[in-house]
Amino acid sequence: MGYHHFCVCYLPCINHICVFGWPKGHGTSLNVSFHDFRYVCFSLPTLQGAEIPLMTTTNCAGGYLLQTSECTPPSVSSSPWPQHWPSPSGPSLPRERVVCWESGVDFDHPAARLRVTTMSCSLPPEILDAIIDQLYDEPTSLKACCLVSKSWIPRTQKHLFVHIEFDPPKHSFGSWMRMSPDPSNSPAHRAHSLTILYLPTITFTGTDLCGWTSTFDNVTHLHFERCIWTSHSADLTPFFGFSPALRSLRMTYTSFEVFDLICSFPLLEDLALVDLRPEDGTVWRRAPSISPKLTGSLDLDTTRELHSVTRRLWDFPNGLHFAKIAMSFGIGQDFLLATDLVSRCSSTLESLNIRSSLKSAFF
Amino acid sequence: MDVVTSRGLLPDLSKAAKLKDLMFMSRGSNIHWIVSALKTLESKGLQQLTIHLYTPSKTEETDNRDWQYLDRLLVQFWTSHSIRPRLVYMPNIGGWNMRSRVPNLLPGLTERELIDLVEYSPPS
Repeated sequence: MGYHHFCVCYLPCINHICVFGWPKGHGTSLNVSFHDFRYVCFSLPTLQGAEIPLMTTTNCAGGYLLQTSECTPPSVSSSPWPQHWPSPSGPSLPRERVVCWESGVDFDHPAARLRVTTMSCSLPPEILDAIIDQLYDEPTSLKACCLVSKSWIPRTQKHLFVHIEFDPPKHSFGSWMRMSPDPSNSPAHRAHSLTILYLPTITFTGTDLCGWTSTFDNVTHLHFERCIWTSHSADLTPFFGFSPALRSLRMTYTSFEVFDLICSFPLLEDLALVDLRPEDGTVWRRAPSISPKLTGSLDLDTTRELHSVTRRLWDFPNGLHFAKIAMSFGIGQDFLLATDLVSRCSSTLESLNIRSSLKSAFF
Repeated sequence: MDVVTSRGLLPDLSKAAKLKDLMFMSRGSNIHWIVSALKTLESKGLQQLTIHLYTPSKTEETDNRDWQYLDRLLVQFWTSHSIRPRLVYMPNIGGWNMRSRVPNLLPGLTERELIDLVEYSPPS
């Protein structure tokens, strides 16, 4: 079987160039499947493809359908590869294409041989995983890998969704819900770190947030920025105990309901509270019978309500066992709280950072 | 209120027996509370001591006695614990050049070259 033309595919994540032949005489459509590869990124900067017609893909059972938008073979179709490819005058290729063939390819052709030697997925899965793991901090490459193969999706998602941040309106709750409507296979399960800015924008959406928050069941680090916004205080109830693995909690501009939230995470080690807002009559919803481990770090940057904050901390039945404490003070009386806090953590405290904005020499 | 009677309002670190790393950050010219806290320190395992002075202004009065106490205490820490303190400062804030004033404020440490002066650089 002869070839009309060829396309070159480049996998940036593994520096992998794959060459495929286009079987002659297949007309305008090909039923394609190559293992489970769906997309390949066309990333060669010099790639020009006058000889490659515009292609569209439609999903079909057993693979993907590759269709040409041109019925007539390209003019260079009979020319051998690679002398007449790429064509410098042709249109640029899109960056992503289905490039798989089901059958009928002449594997004796040099292009097909190259395909066999470079594209066959003979690497053990753990090696592929190790390669993808090297890209953990390169989201662009990870996104490209995620589009390469179904088998690559779980590993790439592991890194792509490890840190999730909602920063409306750029990263809104609504767009997340549209992307991931089914909680059972939500990438939220892969998240280890969850950051939500302007929490009220989520809690006021009317969505069943308890169901949504439960998908983040592997989160170990939680950060709420501005839990009170435009005088609205976010309801923290849907987040109570949502991730049993939670070890670190940071909250800014929040209410005293945060202490009920804290007590719902038994493994919590690190706690940071910045700018707590007073609320008249705020009491424990239910006096805690058990409190978190709190063996890591405590960061208190809330000079206004420091007295109330520490009083709540003293209520924790399991006591405080922080190894690291950082706290800010505004008035002299607050130093008594520092002394008390140091005393309560005396058996575990190894690092202490005291910040003060006192100006007068004596107080 | 004088120094003695205000002691009850100052931080007492005597219970922190396992303390290894201690840091003070002052946004004002008052270092009295730092001196008082250091006086109470009883930890045998202290390894690192850092003092941040961010906004000292020449318009604010500083008590030279506190600096003398601080100088003496830090020299003692070097003698007893081999701790070399770090002083992090902001350059020329409020017209107050910290680096040039350190030899006057902390003469004991400066003469023995027992202090690391670090210019504050904001996180990028």
